Amino acid sequence: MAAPESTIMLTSSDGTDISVERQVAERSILIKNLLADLPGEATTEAIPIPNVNEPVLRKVIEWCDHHKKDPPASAEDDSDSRKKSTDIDEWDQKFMQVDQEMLFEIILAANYLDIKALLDVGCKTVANMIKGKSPDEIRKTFNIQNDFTPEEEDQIRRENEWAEDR
Amino acid sequence: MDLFPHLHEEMEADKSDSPLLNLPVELLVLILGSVQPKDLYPLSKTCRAIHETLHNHEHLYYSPCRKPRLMNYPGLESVKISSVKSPFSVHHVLNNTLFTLAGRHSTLTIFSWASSPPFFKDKELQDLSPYFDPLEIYFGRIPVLRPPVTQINIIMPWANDLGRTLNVTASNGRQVTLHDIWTALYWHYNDRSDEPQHYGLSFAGLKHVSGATFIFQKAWRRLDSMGVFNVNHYRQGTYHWRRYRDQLSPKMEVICGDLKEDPWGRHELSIASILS
Repeated sequence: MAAPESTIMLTSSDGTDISVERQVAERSILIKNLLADLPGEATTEAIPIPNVNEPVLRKVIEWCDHHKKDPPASAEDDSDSRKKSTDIDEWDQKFMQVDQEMLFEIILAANYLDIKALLDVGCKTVANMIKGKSPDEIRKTFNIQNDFTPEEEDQIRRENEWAEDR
Repeated sequence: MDLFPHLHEEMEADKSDSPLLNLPVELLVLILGSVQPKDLYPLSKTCRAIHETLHNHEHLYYSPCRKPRLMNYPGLESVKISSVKSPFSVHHVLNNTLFTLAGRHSTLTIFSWASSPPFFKDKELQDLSPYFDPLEIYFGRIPVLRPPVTQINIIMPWANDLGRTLNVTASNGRQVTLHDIWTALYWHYNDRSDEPQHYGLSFAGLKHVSGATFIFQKAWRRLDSMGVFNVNHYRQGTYHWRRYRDQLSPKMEVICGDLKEDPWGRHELSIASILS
């Protein structure tokens, strides 16, 4: 057991150093691969995370800490079970109860840091925010401007009528 | 390789204030991949572009949020997808079937009646092939075997064969061919008189049962003018036909039924019923 290696330092884009358990940080494949490539003594230096600011990085670390004992994603997960549901774990649901800006920042961070499970949770959360809503509600939720003319809207509706649930 | 060049351009031009639409395209596709197209396309032009991109690429690019709809369908060993032409694209069906069947060594049979362009290119077929063994792709009425397809194996547990799927007789007693039907539909949707190179029609496998009804609703005048009065459709529920009964030709007779279970679990038909 190498105690000094159990904690590493990450530096957020706004220059804040955050100490984090190595096991937690290694939920990020990006960081894990980076650490694997570094010589032993280099791991004592702070690792810059230039695309993620402090609040988001802390949030991501919180998620990684909660899930640190989860089995690593397998190839099978990648192709099958992971992608078959919109269900979100209760803890993750609460974790994702953040404002939209933070939610999208988490998704971007998960993508950048290569944390597939967190990316999934983020994407599912957004997808669930869309499902069951009317177009107007979706537009309002995500500040999407309706740039169709009424004629275009009607045309689109008719073209896709066959796909509507009846 | 950029799978979404047009979408990149569209989104770059849009400069949306929406935080959702400002996500990188790849992430957006990941998120919206699980959203029903009908929820997506009416939102904005950018969303429509995303929808169309997903429509074209969803067999390559699937979302973690995809909820399989055939997952618990026992005994389903293969799927036949019959697609008339865009927008009745095979991809709409794949959206709900492809990855459910993945890993089950299922047979995917795609009947594509579009004359051009082919729905699948060789590269796309190669991307599909790991999920299906054997993989069958038919274009028109001629089986087209493409690498790495190695086997033809027609198993259609719920669609039967084309002849049974749609059996049409004209009022003069002449058997109306699939060619006739397809030509009528082709005229309807394309407003042109030249015939497609490939033709055929089967309603089995459309994503929504109402899809077939909708086609008939739109095309019945053509069918009527051709003297069609009898349509046997073996996997259509009577409910949907009744909705359009007033709009159907009075000469058109629709026979429904004989399907153990709709693969989408929406209908359970056991006794053929006749709308007269």
